[in-house]
Amino acid sequence: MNSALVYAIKSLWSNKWSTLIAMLSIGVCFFIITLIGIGLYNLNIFTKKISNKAALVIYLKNGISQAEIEQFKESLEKKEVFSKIRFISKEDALKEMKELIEPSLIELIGFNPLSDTVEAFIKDDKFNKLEEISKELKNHKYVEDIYYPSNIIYALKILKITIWNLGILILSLLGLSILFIIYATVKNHYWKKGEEIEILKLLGATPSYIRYPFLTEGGLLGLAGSILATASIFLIYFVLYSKETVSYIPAISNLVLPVEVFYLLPSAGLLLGVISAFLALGKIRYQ
Amino acid sequence: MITFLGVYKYYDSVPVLQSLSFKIEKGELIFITGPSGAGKTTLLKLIFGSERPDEGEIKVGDFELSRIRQSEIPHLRRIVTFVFQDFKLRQDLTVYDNVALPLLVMGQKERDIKQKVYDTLKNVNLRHKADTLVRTLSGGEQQRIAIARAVITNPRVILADEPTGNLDPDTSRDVMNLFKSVNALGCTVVIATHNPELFKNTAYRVLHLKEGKFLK
Repeated sequence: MNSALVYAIKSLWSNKWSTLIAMLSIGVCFFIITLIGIGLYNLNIFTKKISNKAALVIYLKNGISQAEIEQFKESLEKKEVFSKIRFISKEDALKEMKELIEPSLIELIGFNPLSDTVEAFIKDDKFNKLEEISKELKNHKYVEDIYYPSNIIYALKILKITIWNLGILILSLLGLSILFIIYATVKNHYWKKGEEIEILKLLGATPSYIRYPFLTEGGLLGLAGSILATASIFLIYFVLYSKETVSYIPAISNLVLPVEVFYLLPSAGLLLGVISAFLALGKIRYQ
Repeated sequence: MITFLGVYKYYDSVPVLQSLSFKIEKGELIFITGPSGAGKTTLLKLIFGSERPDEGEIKVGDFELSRIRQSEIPHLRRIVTFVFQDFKLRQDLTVYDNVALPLLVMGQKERDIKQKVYDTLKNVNLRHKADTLVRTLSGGEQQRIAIARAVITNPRVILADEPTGNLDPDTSRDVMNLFKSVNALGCTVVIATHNPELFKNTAYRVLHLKEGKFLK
């Protein structure tokens, strides 16, 4: 293992320019991958927050007793799709309205035009059932009307799916690029050592003995590139979360950077490097 | 140790070896001779697992070479070693590193390797050149290093293809003496050569190849 590591480091050093270019390219790819990954992660959090705020507003018919309201609330709870159910009586609604509109104008109407309402906040994972539930509730005997922000939710859904698909496509392309960069670099180093490897085969070296230094080389390339990216992300993290930046752009504080990045990225680099190197070497044949 | 039974080898449908059947006993030193293109190198390559016979059976120790799997070849090459005419040494390494290479490949520890390498280099009179880069040495010295590398793992068979091809008569004699001393320790040695001086006035068996067949 140690000799494979020493051999790999020597090989990378003896091809230092191609190694440096490969490492930088891998670093840039990993950096973009991480930025996109963080973007998608934050988009997920954002859409969840929005969906938490999206509620069905159920207007109840006039003249429903308190017992019937309780019964209706219970029936909603039993559906297990709502995270929170809030009843707003027509009197409370009027009070809220008076805070928004000049009370004298409301006095002019002479009666309370508002209905008793129930706000039902849908659970994150039941978000896609919103339309179906809304249709079902519309036919309920106590329900006068239902409002839910269908256009906004639909647009949000489409936007999220589009961004995710685009993100995954770019991530896949960048992942493939990393695979190809390491593949080409290791293959090039392997070809350069053709005579050396031929001698090893003649001396009875097993395929694993021949492969080991190159797998290590691939792993080191992937690891170095991903560490470069991790360091850049770390730097950006400190700049973005510094007091100065947050005071200048307060929205930054809403941005979430999962700490898992700092160990997942190097692990991914190492793994991708070893896989690429393995593919580059192919089957070791003896002649 | 080595058995050939009705072996044929073709290159592009042209027969290179035809109906070869013979045995080489354990501890024997044997010369395979014949003109260029007679099939000497191909015969050695077949024993080394570099080529496969198109017909017939070849057995080396416990290895059945007509059916040998790729994964078994490294193990075959730990009991059958090869001394090449062009030495096949790592020119960028020292004498010590070249001779130590087969032991490293076999996974031996550095401390065990050191003594073995120095002992083997002493046997080929190159102990004093251990730290010298191979590329700075003469052809005769490089051939002795190649022999040292071939014997260091105590193989059961050593194959040599024109081992004196590029050497002057005095150096050739030294190299041949090395093979004889290795053989005296019980190792089977197969030497392919077109130089009759090597086996003239010796009691060793000589097989004459011509156009892929043995001459009676």
